[in-house]
Amino acid sequence: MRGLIFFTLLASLGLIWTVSAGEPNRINSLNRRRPRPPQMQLRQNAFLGNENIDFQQARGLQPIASPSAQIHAPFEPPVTAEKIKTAIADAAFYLRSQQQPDGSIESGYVQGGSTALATLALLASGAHPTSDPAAAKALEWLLKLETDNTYVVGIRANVWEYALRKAPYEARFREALKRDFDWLLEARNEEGWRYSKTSSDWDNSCTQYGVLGLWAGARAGLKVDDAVWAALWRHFKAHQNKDGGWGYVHSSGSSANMATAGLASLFLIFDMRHSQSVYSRSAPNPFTEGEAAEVLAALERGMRWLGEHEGEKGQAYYLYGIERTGVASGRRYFGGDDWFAGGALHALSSQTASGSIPLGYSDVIGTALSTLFLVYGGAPVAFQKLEHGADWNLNPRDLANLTRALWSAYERPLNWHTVGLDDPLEAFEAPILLISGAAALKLDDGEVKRLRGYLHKGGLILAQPSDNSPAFKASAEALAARLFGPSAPLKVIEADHPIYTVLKHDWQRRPKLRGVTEGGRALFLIADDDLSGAWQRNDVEGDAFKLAMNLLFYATDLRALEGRFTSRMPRTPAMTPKDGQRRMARIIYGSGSSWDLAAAAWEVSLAYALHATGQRWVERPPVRLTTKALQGLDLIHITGDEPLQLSAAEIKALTGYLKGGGVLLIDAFGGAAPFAEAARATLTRALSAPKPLAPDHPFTLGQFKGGVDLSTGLRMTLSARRRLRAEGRAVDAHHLEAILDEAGRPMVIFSPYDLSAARAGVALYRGEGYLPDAALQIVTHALAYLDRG
Amino acid sequence: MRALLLILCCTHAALAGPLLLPGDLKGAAPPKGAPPQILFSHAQAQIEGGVAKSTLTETLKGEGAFALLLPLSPSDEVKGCALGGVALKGRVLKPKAASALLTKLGKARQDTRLLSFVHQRLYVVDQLTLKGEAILKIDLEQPLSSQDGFSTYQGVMSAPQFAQGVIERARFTATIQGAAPIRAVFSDTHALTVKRPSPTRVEVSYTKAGLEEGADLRLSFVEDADPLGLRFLTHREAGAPGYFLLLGNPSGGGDEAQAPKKTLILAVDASGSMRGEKWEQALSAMSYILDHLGGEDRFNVITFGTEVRAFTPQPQPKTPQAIAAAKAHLDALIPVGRTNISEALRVALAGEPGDAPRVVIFLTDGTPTAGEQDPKAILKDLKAINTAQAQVFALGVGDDVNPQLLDRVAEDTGGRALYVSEEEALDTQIAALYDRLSHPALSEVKLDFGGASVSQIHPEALGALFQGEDLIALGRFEGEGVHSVTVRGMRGGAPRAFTLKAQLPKATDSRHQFIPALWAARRIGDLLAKIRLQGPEPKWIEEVVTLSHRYGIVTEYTRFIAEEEISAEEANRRASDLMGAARQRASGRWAVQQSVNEANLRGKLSNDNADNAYFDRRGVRTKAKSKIIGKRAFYKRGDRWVQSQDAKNKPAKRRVVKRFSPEYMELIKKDQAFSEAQQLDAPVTVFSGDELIEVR
Repeated sequence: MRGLIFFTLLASLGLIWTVSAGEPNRINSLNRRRPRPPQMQLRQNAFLGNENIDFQQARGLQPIASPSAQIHAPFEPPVTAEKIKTAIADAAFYLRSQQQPDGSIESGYVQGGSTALATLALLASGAHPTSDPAAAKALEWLLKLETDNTYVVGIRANVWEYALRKAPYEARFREALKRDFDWLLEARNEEGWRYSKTSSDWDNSCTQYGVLGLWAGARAGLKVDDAVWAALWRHFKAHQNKDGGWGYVHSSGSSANMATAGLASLFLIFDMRHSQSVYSRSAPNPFTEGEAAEVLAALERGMRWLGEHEGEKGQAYYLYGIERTGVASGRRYFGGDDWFAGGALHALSSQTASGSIPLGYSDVIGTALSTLFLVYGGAPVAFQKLEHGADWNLNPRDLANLTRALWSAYERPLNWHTVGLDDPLEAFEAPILLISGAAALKLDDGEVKRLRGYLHKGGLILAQPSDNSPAFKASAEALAARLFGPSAPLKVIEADHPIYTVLKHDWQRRPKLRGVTEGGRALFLIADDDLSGAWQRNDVEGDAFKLAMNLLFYATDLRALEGRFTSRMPRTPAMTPKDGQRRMARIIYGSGSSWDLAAAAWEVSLAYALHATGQRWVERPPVRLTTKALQGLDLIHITGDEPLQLSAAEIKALTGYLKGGGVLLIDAFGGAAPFAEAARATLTRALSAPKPLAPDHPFTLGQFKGGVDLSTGLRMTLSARRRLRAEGRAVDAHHLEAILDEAGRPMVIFSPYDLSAARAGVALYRGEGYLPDAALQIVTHALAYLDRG
Repeated sequence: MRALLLILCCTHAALAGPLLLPGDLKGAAPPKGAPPQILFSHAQAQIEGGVAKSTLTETLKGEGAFALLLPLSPSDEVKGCALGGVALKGRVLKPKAASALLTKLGKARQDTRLLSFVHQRLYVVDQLTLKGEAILKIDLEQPLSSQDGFSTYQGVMSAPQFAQGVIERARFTATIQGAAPIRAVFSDTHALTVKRPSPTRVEVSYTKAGLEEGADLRLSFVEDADPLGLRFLTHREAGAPGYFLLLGNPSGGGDEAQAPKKTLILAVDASGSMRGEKWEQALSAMSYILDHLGGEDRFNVITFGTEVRAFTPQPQPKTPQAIAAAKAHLDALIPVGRTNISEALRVALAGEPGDAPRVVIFLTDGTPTAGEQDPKAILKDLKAINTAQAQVFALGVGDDVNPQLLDRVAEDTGGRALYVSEEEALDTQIAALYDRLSHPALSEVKLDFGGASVSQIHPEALGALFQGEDLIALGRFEGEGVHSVTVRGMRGGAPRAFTLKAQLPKATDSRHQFIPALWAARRIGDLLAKIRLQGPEPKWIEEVVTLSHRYGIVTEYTRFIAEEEISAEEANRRASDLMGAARQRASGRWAVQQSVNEANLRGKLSNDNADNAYFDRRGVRTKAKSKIIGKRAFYKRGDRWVQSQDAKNKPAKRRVVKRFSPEYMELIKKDQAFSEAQQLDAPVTVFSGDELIEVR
């Protein structure tokens, strides 16, 4: 198949051979279209800016990319967001290094194809179309390129569309897009596309790039006649094989590459054809009857085929295809396989020292396709949609449209995922979980517990009734009671709530919300109006989109969203685990749920501590402050956001525990002042007033394994910095206080600034505390201090 | 200003200690066992009245018996030494006895590094025993070398190169309590953080994680009631122009009771890309600035997206109502649109020069995408539009800025450019910048060297000096004699002048061997900035390569020098190509890192090997593969360290010397610089006089 793809790419040149990966010299030596004079060669090698450049070689006719050029360190598993970011940066660097003085980034394939792909990859990796010299030059070259090739035109149309997003005032890009768009319309035959305008037949590879190109035009506002989309739908419908996949040409057997071609194209076609359809109770079947239903069924069959047949992750063409399919579908898994995780591992493992990622193609094309895969596939997941019951997806493209529209607000791609109730808790990774439906929600206790776990790790649930369904609303209210207790009030979210004010909008009709607030944040919301319909209809200027943007900023405290595989673990190698273990527990107090806000904090924290120190800590079940319950615990933790009140018996048990050598870590969740003030008063009455630690106290100095320098480099939230700056205090140092025992050892470590929400993954809007990395370091520091005895 | 007479400062290259050697000091055979690990190290000093009370605390981990050796400066006194709280008994050897002991030990252990201490006194503990982890604590009393208010303290730091592994975290903290205000404070060996809680008290600190090699810390400071506390230090070698370092610091009280008034313009990017956390941070910073304006200050706020909006047509006085209205105005804004930098500059710089200097804080996260978009055209008009004669302090946020544009705007207006990465706290950086700007000590600073023949002075233009900042100028001089050096500037609209008498030595003056490398770093930084902003002049490129090679100062464009021996022509060509590639990047992370690297070189105050690094195109800190010992640069060639050579120091003779041979020991005894070079961890090829010695 790989050979066939190459064959088809090169057929228009009349050059027919097969090339396998890892033969750049052969490709370049056969590139008779563009002989390079030696001086230019030397210049190109020198542009690499690499170590170990073989300058002797550079004086002869040699490939642009010297095999000995080394800018990229070998990948070591596991895949992390940081390594993906590095891989993208190095791949982009490689692509730039291949640029000729005329701006092209060719690699011996169809003229213009490599440059178009490479330019798209550069733009996707962050290059600005006008201020980045390499991108600007490549765009200039593409503007002048005349071509009769569907691949080139289709990709180039996407280049213009992307460039226009960043530089919407550039009329020449808009004109160029219109030209390519018109070309594609003219080149299309009844079925689809083949290599050029004069082709009368079709194949699904060219056709998918033709669809991509048209879609780029449509996104930029060019009108595609509905008949065109209809014809394309008929084509993919007619040529979907019985097994659900698609082949290359008529009667070809299904292949993974072509399955992604069909699926990715069908998603686009669906969005174009059915963008105004929306579920309502009076017209409940826009997506379950008629053509829309057929398309969705075809998509479902295709995705099932894909799930049953492993694609070639080691091939860049497939990676780009699966990425477009995965992103469009919102699926994290195909057949139980996390498509991005597998593909990223391949891409990162294959990246060469020069930064290229050939993966079955020329260095430039493979690198460009792989870069696009990594950029879009690894984009942060902003929303997830819960699969529940039969009506979870009444507006199937609501979140797809929403995340696409929010790209501009975040100036980077965003993704959405579907997630099921039997998926592990780690799969619930987006800041916002949408639960949508018309019928009443039916969730068992285990499923409710799963949702509770999601809330504990910082998630926000938005329950939205499709077409204002009363049954769904009532069941959402019941769910709130199950999540938060029967007495938890669902209150109206007022107009001055940060959800509405975090970004200022001129609301036409502000969408109403009711919600439960816990731990200082509104974390379970019920929409009174149907938001999903507006998202489904792509009403991007409307209030539903504005609200979604605000929710995202609110739920993340305006911080940048993190890409897939963001890791909080230390970057240093893991310590060898020591023998033995220590025990800690969270303390239950009062009758509310304030004590439980940090439920998700310790799992992360103890894993971090194990990595950093080798010491195993075990979290025992939460206990109340009784002498018996505290026995055997090395550390206890109290947090909350409401005033801490302990009974006399509890204080007695606590003081006994501390005097017996135990340690209390106590922090105000989110920096909540009521808790901090009451805690300070309670501690003062019970023991003595907590005081700042001396700079030369062994705890502060941190000269032990797992210790950190507490005097500097500890990042805090903006709200904390604002307060500290106003008070003239350091904004990047610790603000811990302690009560020391007779030996001068801290038996109480008190933090008026948050250490718990951060570790749990809760981005509390306007919370005052440490950012997650600092919070993990400080708590690990405290655990390590205890460990040294 | 009193005439300056300098006394001998500590001249030897900073060599660290204590050393813990396995075994004892008696045996002739190499001992068994490994040295201990130094897990953590903390060196502290309280400096007052010309004396430092120092403590070095090391957390050690090891098993077995060890001998402790601690090299001492001539007047250091060990007040106590304890391991795990138990006092250790030690003795002090004078240099001759120390030399004999170290020679014996060096030969027995085949370790030439021990010979790098032969010229010093030695504190010795013959034997101590380690079982696992224990804390070693050494208390010292160290008189400072001082003359005419210029004092130098030599702090003992840990030596992980003689231990196992690296030090997980090494710290140095010191307090300096002066009788007079403390002016310039710097270390030529370590990059310090300096805090000034009061005019006569300074707190310095240094932290390094993963320390592989230690060197003693040299801390110098000036106590002077004079408002600038100027000092003039020199270094000269026979037959060559000398180097000077002029330093001063307006901090520490004096006549700066009230900050002069200013007109502050906040010009803030409000384009769509600022939406979210960046805007929140910028708002927080602007609120801080508005709250901390001086009583007589005037201000205005300009925000720019596609359109430019000024809060008021003209700057207005700071009143509670005006501040509240400005904050409300900012709170109501929604970042949207493109980035009209040209128009924002035009509005911010318009007006008449008043009786108060105009300072513009210009914040952007992007490149010009509205209005005039060609950076060259923007810069061309800059002088003409700056009718208010404003200084622009440009803050670039993130990687999408155009540093070439922002650097030039800052430079051409006498301001500065600063870059804040997306990961850093923008509000903290802006607040810190404003805190400095709000206390100008001197503006339009110019240097007058009287009749002295000076050249290649860096920085070329001093601009303004702010409270808490050092005035540092380095340059070359010829001739000799005493000359008046004057620092002139404006303060509160009135001219001020500060003069000192500077002695230009005639003959060799090697008391401050660190000066040439510091000068070279700043010269390289200036040249790189010129190349980036003005174009690649071959003579500038050549000079960068030569200086980089000679002083071991690695840059992104000359790093290959540390790795391989190539001809000067080849080196120039490679550097030129690399600079050309870099110069093409007008925006993006690499462009920002170039500006950051240049700023770091131009602000370098220490020759700390650990600090000899640059940020590569991805922002990754990349360390040099060179070593600087004293004023010498060494490069690893194969299995040995080779001192840099160029046209200026071609050896007259070459000689191979076997280590521990009589010839070798003679060199150790007679040539202190030769002995100090033995501290490297591999055989060395090093100059002794004009002879190149290859030690085998």
